[in-house]
Order: sequence, then C-alpha cells, then structure tokens
Amino acid sequence: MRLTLEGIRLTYEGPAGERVAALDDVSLEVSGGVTGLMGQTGSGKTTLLEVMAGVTRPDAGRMLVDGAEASHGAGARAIASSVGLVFQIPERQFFEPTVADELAFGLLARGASGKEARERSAHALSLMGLSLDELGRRSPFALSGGQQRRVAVASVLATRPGLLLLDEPTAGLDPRARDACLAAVAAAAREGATVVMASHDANALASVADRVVCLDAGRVTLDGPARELLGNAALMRDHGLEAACAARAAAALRRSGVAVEGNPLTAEELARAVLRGRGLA
Amino acid sequence: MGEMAVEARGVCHAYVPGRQDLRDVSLDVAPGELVAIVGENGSGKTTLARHINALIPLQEGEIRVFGLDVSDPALVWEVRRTCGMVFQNPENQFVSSVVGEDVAFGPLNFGAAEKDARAAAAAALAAVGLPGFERRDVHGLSGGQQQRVALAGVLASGPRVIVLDEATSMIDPRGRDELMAAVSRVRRERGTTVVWVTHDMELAARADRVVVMRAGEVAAAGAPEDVLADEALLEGAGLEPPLVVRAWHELERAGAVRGPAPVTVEGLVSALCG
Repeated sequence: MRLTLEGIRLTYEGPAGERVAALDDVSLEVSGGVTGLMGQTGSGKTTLLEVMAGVTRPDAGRMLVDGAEASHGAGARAIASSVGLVFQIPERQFFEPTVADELAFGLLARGASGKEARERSAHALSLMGLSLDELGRRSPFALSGGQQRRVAVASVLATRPGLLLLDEPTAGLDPRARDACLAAVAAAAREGATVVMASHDANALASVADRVVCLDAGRVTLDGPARELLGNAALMRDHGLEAACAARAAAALRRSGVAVEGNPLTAEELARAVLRGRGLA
Repeated sequence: MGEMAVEARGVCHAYVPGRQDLRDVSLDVAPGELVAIVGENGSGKTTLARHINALIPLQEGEIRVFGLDVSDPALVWEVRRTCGMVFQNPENQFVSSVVGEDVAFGPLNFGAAEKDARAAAAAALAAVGLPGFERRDVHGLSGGQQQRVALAGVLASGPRVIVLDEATSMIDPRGRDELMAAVSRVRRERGTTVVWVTHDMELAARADRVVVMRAGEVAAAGAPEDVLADEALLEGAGLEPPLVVRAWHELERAGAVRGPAPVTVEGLVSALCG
C-alpha cells in the first residue's frame, strides 16, 4: 500500500487557547518496507500515526492511498479495511474476557469464519513467541505486562494489515519479547505490508527499519536511509535524538583516536569496524 | 557490618497458590548504594521491588528497610516514608495536575505542616533540576520532566531509599538521561540509596551492583563488570548483554583484544586506547 501525505497540518488548542502545531506541513510518502519515526516526546509522532490511520483528520493538506483521496470514497474504504494501528500501551484497549476472543474480535468483524479466526490468531501469537493453546482461555487482563503487549500486537498482526502503524511497540518489553516483536514487524513487511513504527529505541529501529523519518515540533527534520541516520551519532545528537548504541560507541572511539570504519549499527558491525580500522579485517 | 538500607532474607511469594513468583530471595543493599535489578518480564523483579515498599504483603521471609520490618502493620507508613517508589508510567502516579500540589502531597499526607511541606516540595524540585516548577501543569511537561516530578514527589517525604520500577521505559532518551542525572544528583547531595529495576543494560552498567533475577530467584549479584560481561549468565536469564560487551567478545574471538570485557562505552574507549 502506498500512502502519500501532502502538506499535512494539524493544530491543537494550547492551555491558554493558543493554537499549537502538532503537525506542520508534513509531506511524506511510504510504500512498503519499514519506516521508523523518531522524535522527542511531543514531536508529533503519535499524531502523525493517527492521521495515517485515518482516525484523526488534519486541518489542511491531503492524504492519498495508492493515488486515491483517503478522506472519502474508495481511498477511505481502503484505509479503513487495511490499516492496523497498534496504539501506545495497546494492552489498555483489551475488552474481551479471554485472549482467544480478544484476538478473534478484529478477524470476525472483518468477516473471517470462526475456524479461520482461530488459525490466524494462533499464527499471529506464535510470531510473538506465545501459544494460543496455552493462553487462549486466560483473561488478557491477568497476563504479565510483556505478554499483554505481545497479545495486543498479535491481535493487529492477525488481521494482516496492508498498512501497519505501531506506536512504541517495544517500550517496556524485555529483550526476548522485544526481539519477537521486532521479528514479527519485519515479517509483516516481508509479506508486503507497509510498516511505520514510531520508537525512541534507536537500536530497535536499527534492526528493522529501512528508512527513518525524524520529527521535531510537528515538522520533518530528517528523512533518509536508516543506516545513514541511526549510524550518525553527531547528526542525531544535533537533532536532540539518540543514534544506535554502536554508532555512539564508534563516535566515542573516534574522538579518542581509535580508527573505526563505516557506520556500525550492531555489536558485530562495531567489532568489524574496529578490526577494519586496525587493518585486521 | 553496619545497618543495611535493605535487608531481605528468604523471601517467597506466590500470587496464586502453587506458583512461585519469588523463591527464597535474599538481598542486601548498603546505605548509599545504587543497585540495579535486571531480569526478563515475569522474573520477579517488580514483585521484589514492591515488597521493599510494603506494597505487597510479605508471605514468607523477612525484609527490613533501615531496620524497619516491612511486615509489621504498625510500621507500614514509616516504611513508606523511608522508602519511596517511582513507577513505570509517570502519568499513573500523579495525584494533582499542578506540580507543586503533587510534590507536596506526600509530606502533607504524612502529616507535615503546610509550610514545611511547601519547603520540602521546593527543595525536592530543585534537587531534580526543576526549580520553580510549582505552578506548572504536569500534563504540559515532557515525559522526562514528568518522571522527575514523580521523583520529586517521592523525595519530598525525605526517603532514605528510592525504588525506581522501570522508570525510564516510557520516556524518550533525553528524558532518561535527565532522570539518570537527577538520580545521581540526589545520591550525591542526600546520600540516598537507590534500587533501580530496569531492562536497560546501559543503565545497569552504571550501577554499583547488578542483581539478576530469573524465575523468581536471584541468579547472580555482583559488580557490573562481572555480571554484565557474563553472556551465558545473562542469556540464561533471558537478557541481552550490553552492546559494548558483545562487541568486545567479537573482538576477542578475532584475537584483537584480551582481558575482561568493558561494560560501558567509556570503558571500551579506555580499553582500546590503553
């Protein structure tokens, strides 16, 4: 699915009745792959995801879905039927008595049979490292925090959205749950979904994102290949953001006179970059 | 050995009969120490942290906070005044939307005079780097500022121990750095003991000691350089060693370095430059 945003503006009313720009002339196109959305708290990431999902209408600008206007007609129907939005702290939206019902809800609403809903729920849960047989009859409210988040993400993945929007899906997850979540996001993109993921976690984005878009005060300040942005500690710091840990370590080593080649994003890449700098690889 | 800030002995806990959410946990935290508790979801770290603050009734074992028995109903308020807690989501712990009111709530609730409570709130806000924020709306603050207001709300009651339960996981990197700086300042100025429950290995690497929880038990405890450099131990506990440690071990396998793995970026720099 190709989503095109042109000159999107949205303002909120501030505490003194003044207009505060949440999104200020945002133009952006996403089509396939994983786009990471970064920015400090309050920079507009969540609002942008809401606009992309069609749940919040901008004050100005337009949005196109595969070239069709998203505000009405076929474009609006395309968004409504194929968007999957994982809100921040999605586990707060649970309302069904069991995990199985929670997962089946979105599928049944989209016309799936009971059997199909069960199979797709089980598959989506397994992508997140959980088992429907084990958890299906339990109350979603009685699960641990990490399990709740994974069930919430799985319930969206199960609908196989063409446009998958995630707001800080890994916040608060332990490494195992985080890796499962990121692997599931990458798998959704491989299967053809267009994924936009807002995150503060540069290391998480480094492992899945092809491209990174940075927001500040509602404006796009950086937009480029993930490696060029997340691997550049100075550039990210200048924009008040954090690069991947490997990039920050590489920058610190360079400042101390250690030769480090390239823009490493992972521990293995950092080690190789140091070896190359020493002429050992 | 002098009095411990936190002394836990043989603590067991089961949320549901038959389960073992904490199994024979013993732990000492010295006054002024910063101890990081790490572990995967469900390993028992939050359950342990909440016991220290008397938020969960003790089922088996013993916990003392500066000598106060947390299971003694007569001491529960004394325990909570001695040991304050900062939770994961700052918005879940505010009682007032006005910063000054929120921060003064603790001391007022513990019976302090109005004037003393206001002075304690002002001092606490200054200690976390938010002097003069009394009339601000908490909802208009950044995540890092909110978490520092939450920390100030705990500090205002003059605790000797602060427990932070994944207090950085909902805020952005700048907010995390601000909160860490505020905690360092509080330790320096007030000598406060800190127990920090976290998934963040970079944060744990800056602690005096790291405790690894696994399936309700203490799997290991020691200096960050010892615990966080042990990849097998951490992976067995469902955790990932700090990136610096993983990079060091790659370099070691390539024959480029030898010796104990550094656990922080600064440590890596000095090891490679040395």
